[in-house]
Amino acid sequence: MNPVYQPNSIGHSILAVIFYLVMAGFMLYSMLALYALLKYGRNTILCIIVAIFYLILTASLYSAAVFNLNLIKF
Amino acid sequence: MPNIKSLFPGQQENEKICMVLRPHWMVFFLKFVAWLMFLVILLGADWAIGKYLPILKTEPYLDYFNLFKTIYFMFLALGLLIIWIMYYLDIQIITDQRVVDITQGSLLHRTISELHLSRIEDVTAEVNGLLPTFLDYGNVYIQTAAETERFTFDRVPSPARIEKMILDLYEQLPDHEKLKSDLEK
Repeated sequence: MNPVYQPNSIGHSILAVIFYLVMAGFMLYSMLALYALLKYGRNTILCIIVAIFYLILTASLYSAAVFNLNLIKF
Repeated sequence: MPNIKSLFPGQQENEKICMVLRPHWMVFFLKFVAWLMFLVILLGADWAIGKYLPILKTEPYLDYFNLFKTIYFMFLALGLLIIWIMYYLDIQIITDQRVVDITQGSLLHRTISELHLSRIEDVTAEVNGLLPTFLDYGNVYIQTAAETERFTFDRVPSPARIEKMILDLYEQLPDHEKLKSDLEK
């Protein structure tokens, strides 16, 4: 479990704001893509499997990104 | 057997699905290769930095680089998902009554066009280029009775077979259907 992010300087805070804005955009676009897939996809099972696989992959990468963000020292 | 209930909106109960098409796999593969280039750029940059700028692989730069790499991978995954979704949702359906072209222009842009077989005037199959010739894929153009309207099946497999199937289905239409379209002309 990653520790809760605690900015300890202005530089860190700015970096964190930029990071979470990028993540918000990423999340929004991902949700749009999955919505389109699940709404219009003909094979529901295939769509659900792809969506779950994608969510697991991106959750892992997000976790790694937060970990890397926490490692940055100013 | 495709689930005919969910194939396209407005489908009649007695309508027989003759063919369900997607663009040729090469269409997806070419986009996948472009996607792969972005992956190679990252791996290449990783290697080049290790060889020519080893200082960036030490603290404190390493943490920034690792953060950038992780975010880059996330967007790569999203890119691949979108490429596949656009390919998967692009679909053409030929029934014994009409042709339906469902085009996914972007994630939020979906076009569903349909054309009754009786309104078809001319069908053209086009194979143009080296890869399409070897792999047998190309465009199918369907000219309608309307003056400028033209239906296009973009880069579908076996265009000649599809063209023949559409013309055969047109020939199988009852005479009064064909007559109706002739009168409209």
